[in-house]
Amino acid sequence: MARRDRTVAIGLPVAALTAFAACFLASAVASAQDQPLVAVDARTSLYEDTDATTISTTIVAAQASPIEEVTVSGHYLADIITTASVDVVSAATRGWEETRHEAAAGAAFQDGTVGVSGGYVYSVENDWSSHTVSLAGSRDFVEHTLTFGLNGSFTANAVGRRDDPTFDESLYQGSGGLDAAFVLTKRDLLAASYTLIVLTGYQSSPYRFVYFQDPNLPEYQLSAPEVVPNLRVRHALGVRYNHHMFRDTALRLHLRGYLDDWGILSGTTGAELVVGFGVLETGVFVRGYVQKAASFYQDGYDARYVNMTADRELSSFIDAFGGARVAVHSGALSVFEDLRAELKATGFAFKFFDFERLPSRQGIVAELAVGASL
Amino acid sequence: MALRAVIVLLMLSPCFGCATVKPWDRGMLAKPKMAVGSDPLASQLEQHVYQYREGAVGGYGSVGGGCGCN
Repeated sequence: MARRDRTVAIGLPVAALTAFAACFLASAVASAQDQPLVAVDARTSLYEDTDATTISTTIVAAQASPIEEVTVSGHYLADIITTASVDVVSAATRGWEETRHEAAAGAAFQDGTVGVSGGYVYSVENDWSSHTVSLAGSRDFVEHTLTFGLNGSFTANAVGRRDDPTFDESLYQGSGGLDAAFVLTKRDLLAASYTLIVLTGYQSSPYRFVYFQDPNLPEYQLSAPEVVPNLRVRHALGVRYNHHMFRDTALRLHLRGYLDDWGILSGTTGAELVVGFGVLETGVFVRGYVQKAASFYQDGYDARYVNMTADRELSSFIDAFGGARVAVHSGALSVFEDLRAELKATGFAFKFFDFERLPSRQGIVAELAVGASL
Repeated sequence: MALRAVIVLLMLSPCFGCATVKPWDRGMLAKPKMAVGSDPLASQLEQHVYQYREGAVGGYGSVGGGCGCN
């Protein structure tokens, strides 16, 4: 089946599922009249960087609790991407704009000790579509001092290529995770998470070309479509620590190590200081990331190899993010349990050590969020 | 097997040296700003920025509790 036909075919059950989720949500809201447990939130962000890329992302989410232990939720997300980045330019194409749509529905049960949740996400854009199902469970132990959790998900992706109906590839992803959270003291929380992700299928970019030389034709620079391994096994271990400092102030720290069988090794660390002033809440945050390149990555190849990539995200680089946010919560007001709004601004910089076409990249992300609970 | 036992012991070690924090002592832990993953929508957009620009993903889990107050 051609990819476009397949997208239409999978679109119909998704529309039915979305309608079902909407009806379920509406009935949940209707039956929850005695419990002020309906929340609607919207968040929009604008990303812009020095690599000629602008991304506008908007997400609208709703959740309701028809009974105390059960929450149903859903969201819609739209990504509008406009780019003329070095990737696009080096593929000898003009800049382009495309929109990605994402719809999700989920349900969760939480009785105070045991939690179970499940969800479904459908995502589609002009050259890609995916279905994801996920399940998670957790249980508290030792008077809620310890929480252990397990989670898993499966994603089926259909990969296409713009203006090429004959291009039809698949990518499958399975993931599993183990989580543990500890109450250390009345001021300190520690959480640790391990994630295993296995991907199999087409993982190259259909638009990215790699330059290389043929030893028999040294006067020419040749190019070929990017090729990366079909299998990727990824491991991530993260630790988060929250400390209540004084009055209404919290320090939130995180640290993550990552490695995969493509040879990427990376570390991430960050901190956020959150201070409350009555209905106002402010936060300042920093985050740093360092990465060692995939074993088959080269900025230029001296011959044709089995695996060749020009993906700067697989090269060696460092980046840093930092910013601030301010939020306001009304508390109970008229029929609302809470009205809230947030403004957030983030600046970032990347330094690529082995990517000549783009040695560095800077940018900003601005976000606005509003929400209400009934 | 011994390695597994060591890993489990290391994971549980934070609980050994401290008494259980009683529910009435969890006021500070119950504040939204102390929750692990307190704003899923904000986290989703934030991770969205990172996952397309970095080679790493995962490690931030799905457990949002830990204090018995969510």
